[in-house]
Amino acid sequence: MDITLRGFVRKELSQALRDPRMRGMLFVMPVLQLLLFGFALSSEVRNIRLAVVSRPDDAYTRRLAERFDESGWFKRVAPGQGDPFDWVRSGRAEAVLIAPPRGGDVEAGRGSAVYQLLVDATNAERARGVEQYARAVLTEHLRAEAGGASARAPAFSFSVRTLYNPEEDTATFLVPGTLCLLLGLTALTFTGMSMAREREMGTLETLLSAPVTPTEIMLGKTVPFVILGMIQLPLVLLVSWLMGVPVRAPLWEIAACALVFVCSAVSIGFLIASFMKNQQQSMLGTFLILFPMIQLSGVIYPVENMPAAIRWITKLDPMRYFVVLVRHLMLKGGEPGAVLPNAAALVVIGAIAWFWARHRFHQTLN
Amino acid sequence: MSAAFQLSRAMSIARKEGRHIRRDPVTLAAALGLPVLLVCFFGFVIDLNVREVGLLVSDGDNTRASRELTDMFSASGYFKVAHAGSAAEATRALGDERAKAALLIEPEFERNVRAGKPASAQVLLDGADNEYAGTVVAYLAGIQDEASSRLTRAPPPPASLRTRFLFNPELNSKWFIVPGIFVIVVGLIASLLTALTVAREWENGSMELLLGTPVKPLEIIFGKIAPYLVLSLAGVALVYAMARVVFGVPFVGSHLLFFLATGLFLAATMAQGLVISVVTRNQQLAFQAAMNTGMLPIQLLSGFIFPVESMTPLFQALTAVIPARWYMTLTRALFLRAPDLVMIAPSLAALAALAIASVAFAWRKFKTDLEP
Repeated sequence: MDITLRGFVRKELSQALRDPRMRGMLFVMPVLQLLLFGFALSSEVRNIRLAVVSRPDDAYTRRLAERFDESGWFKRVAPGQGDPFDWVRSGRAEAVLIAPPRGGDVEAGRGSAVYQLLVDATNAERARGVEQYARAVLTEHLRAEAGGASARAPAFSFSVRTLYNPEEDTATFLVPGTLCLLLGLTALTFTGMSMAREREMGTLETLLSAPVTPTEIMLGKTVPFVILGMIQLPLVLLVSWLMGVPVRAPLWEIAACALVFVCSAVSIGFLIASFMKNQQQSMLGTFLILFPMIQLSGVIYPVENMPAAIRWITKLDPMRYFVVLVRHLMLKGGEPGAVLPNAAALVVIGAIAWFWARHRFHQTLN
Repeated sequence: MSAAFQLSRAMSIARKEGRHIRRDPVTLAAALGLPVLLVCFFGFVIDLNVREVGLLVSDGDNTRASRELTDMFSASGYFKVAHAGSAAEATRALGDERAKAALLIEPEFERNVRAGKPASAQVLLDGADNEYAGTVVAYLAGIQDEASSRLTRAPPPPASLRTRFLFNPELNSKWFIVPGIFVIVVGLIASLLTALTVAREWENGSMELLLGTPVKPLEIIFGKIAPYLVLSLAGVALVYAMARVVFGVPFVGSHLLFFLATGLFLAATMAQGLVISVVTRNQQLAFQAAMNTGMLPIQLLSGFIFPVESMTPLFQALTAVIPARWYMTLTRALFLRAPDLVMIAPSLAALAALAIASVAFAWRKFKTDLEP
């Protein structure tokens, strides 16, 4: 490495690392975010507050209700008197199971008991889950009611196997995504802020008049942030591993993909910085780029669900490829057929950003 | 120097701040463009209903029954069905991201079904994306019921379930997402931009100058946040209009209660932004602090995407101190469920308590840090 570049790296790294608040940003926030994503958040349907309406002497419904309690998905609530509709309206219950008017005993005996289930569909996704679980509980109830020995398996059923994440653990799904967010955030914001600060303080002029070439300045303003981004990788991988998320691909493959991604993110950060005049603009500009970049990446919402036009836009988003890569590498272990196209896309995006940024940088100089 | 708070002096600061905003294209874009961007984004782009799941079918039986089963998948509208030569090929496709699910039908499928023996078909799901896996399992339940009644001659069960989905009978996930955007937009403008505004004056050294003028600190603060209050309210109006007109989300609750809840949430959020601004005195830090204590919890812990009910008890308790969580509950309830005042009183009271606490805290911070 030539001496100028080394100087730049030393300066930028010590500037970022000497500030305790920056150190916190770089090393404490990632851990907190991973814990949050890994342990707190889940889109799993749990703790469904269920109320049951039935006649007091209805033993059949009571057995069904007990089965709901035992399922682990439902939590029984007793909102007291009044209209079941109002219980849902006020949010005291999310679902209400209403027994048939003449009671489960009588009507099931005649083979035509229709239970009504009121579900709060404010959250459509959750409502679907609630219905699905209620059906599963009822199916099990019917099987048990049909009698122990003669209990027959249902005539037709699917046997479902979930590959790569058999417990459907949310952490396993969210943690690789968080890794992408963290690396992208660091690479983009630090690069942008550093350039904007030089510009705002007027030190960019000083730098330009110093005996260094523009390419050296550009490398000096990007390479340190690639290093800074990559410093986070071992920490994040270690925390993920401690949280029980598998890391199935060889580490060098993950590191190589991360390096390609961080380089493109830093190039994009440098490109944004070339449009911004001061730190405030740079922050908002970075936010305006970073926000869609995260939302369109598939970290939080599946890309496949987006409208066709938007799906096309996501092809410009480097994070989208990186998310696929990281999930694939961590959970499935790296098939070249899945890794190479995504890595190639990252290289192309990074190269375009780099040359565009270089072009703009040279223009500013003249 | 008069002791009382003078509106005219506060207004002149507000005019100055308004000019700052107008002059700065990026801030203006962030303040006016972001709400529109966010609504379009979440409204059009985010669809939590999983559709067109790539399903590879390996039909080892190739009889009427097995084809009928495959047709049920494509007719459901949730799956994009393609055929695979063998079970091994279908499994491999899951490994290199070419399909999200596979349906494996064994030979003898039709014979077993017709003979009344328990028949089954195997479904493989890609668990690396468990957003998918969970939803697909939910769809399977419906197809399973249909298949049992159409393919086998089993008698109908003695008890059945009839589900009524209240408040959103068509299960449109936009009705859930769009009312949640208020929280994001207000949080963004009120907390992020407010946090930056006073920090900028400190960083430029012009805060000292302002404090040196006859304008009182309280008037400075009011003047500085007034334009952002206006922007936030404009954002709310914009989101409301788009929710009703563009996305057709019904609003069945009371507008007065909605306004009250919005006011309380604004007070809480702006107070938080102000505290950050007064304490950090540095834009970069204020930005980071606002992102980490404002935007992040607003997006993740408010229940916007990840339901509070699904969190672990510890985190559920933690969300109680986040104003956004209560405001989220309130907007969604007011939009879709039309609750009475009594029904939402607990959420409203929690939000009010948090708003009062935040304003009181900001007030104390401000007294110690700014008042001479």
